[in-house]
Amino acid sequence: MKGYERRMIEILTAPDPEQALRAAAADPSLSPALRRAFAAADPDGVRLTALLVARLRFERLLRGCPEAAQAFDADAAAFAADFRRYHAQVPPTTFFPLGESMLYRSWLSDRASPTPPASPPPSPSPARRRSAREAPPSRGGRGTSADRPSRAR
Amino acid sequence: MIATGFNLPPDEESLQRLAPLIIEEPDLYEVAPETLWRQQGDGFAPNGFHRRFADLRARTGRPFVAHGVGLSVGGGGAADERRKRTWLRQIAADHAVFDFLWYTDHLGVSAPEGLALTLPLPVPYTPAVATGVGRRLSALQAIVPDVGVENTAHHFVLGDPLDEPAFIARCLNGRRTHLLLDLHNVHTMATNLGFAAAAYLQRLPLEKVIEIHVSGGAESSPRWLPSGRVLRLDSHDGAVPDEVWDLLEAVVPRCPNLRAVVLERLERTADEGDVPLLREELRRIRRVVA
Repeated sequence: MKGYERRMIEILTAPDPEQALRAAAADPSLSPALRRAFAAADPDGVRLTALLVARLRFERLLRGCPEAAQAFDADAAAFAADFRRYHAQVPPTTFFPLGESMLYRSWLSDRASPTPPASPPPSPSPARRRSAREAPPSRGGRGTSADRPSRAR
Repeated sequence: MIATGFNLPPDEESLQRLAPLIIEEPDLYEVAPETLWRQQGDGFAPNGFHRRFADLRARTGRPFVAHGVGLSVGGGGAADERRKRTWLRQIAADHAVFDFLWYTDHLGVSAPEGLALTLPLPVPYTPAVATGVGRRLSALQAIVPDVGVENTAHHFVLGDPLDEPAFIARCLNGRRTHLLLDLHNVHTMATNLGFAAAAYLQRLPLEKVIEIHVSGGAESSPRWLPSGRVLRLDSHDGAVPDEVWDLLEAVVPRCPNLRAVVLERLERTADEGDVPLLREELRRIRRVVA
């Protein structure tokens, strides 16, 4: 279905994925079949999927960027808020931790410049390291090589 | 003979803890190829786990199968074509080392428009999407002749979830294309989306099943969703639940071309006390397939 992938990205990275899903289901610019498909999607399932996508990116960043890991250890709440802004503002264009680290550093550098980019409202994200049972699943963990993607199942 | 397999964790601590089990129990090993790569320029190079698992293959002489996480076989956007070509080049390099018996990936879109969402998203169950999946499997077959998809644990779908088995059958109408049947994924979707797992299995092309996955999972926290709803997660971090064992016993006799049943366990989720459980789970698989 034309437009499905682009619209899913918008939904899953929106500050409120459920609201974005409802908007997609009512968008006359989409085909009737795609609108029906979005209308049939379970809103809680979409929200959880958005959380898992953010979680995987969060783990990718912590594995690739020691400064981010240190910042998280120093003040988890502040780092989580930063990460939400980063996730909302920067498209996830890289699959590997070192690439994510470069994106994050570039975002930090832009933010520190005299004309920072506008900040959309933070998106909901678990953005906290929890025990495996409490946290959304991932195939993360720090091994001998930091630069490998998480395994999402 | 149906092999008993284990999904190798790309994690030093887990490998050390599970070393005796990894040597003594499985007939076959499974790896997620992408977890054996590191970025190098515009392409990839093997990381430390790549060498380690290649050594394991040489030492044990046991076969390897590949279960990828990032090919995005359900994704059809032109924006992702370049990335897919890079992926296929590295898969070819890996296959030259591991001589994979078969290669599967998740049915879904993990790189929509080329972006790294990394979680496989559901696809619409349309003939056009099925044709696209078949075309991407065909490209993979130029490297590994036997290929397939795994039914994914989606937390939402774009239609009736009981239409998914027919869609899977349409995706797998090519020669030497197979289904990796993940029973915990079936259990998870059945629990979350409210259908009977047996009804889903009844509709699947079971003659296409080459491999079965069994694993455990957990529940989400009620704090995660505004509704407070708890959903089952395909988190691979606990014991295989009874429901999955029951499904395994029921379905194995109905899969005439089954070649392996593989136990999955998330790296860094098994402590020392879990090792006997994992060993018993592998032995239980062996008893079921005997």
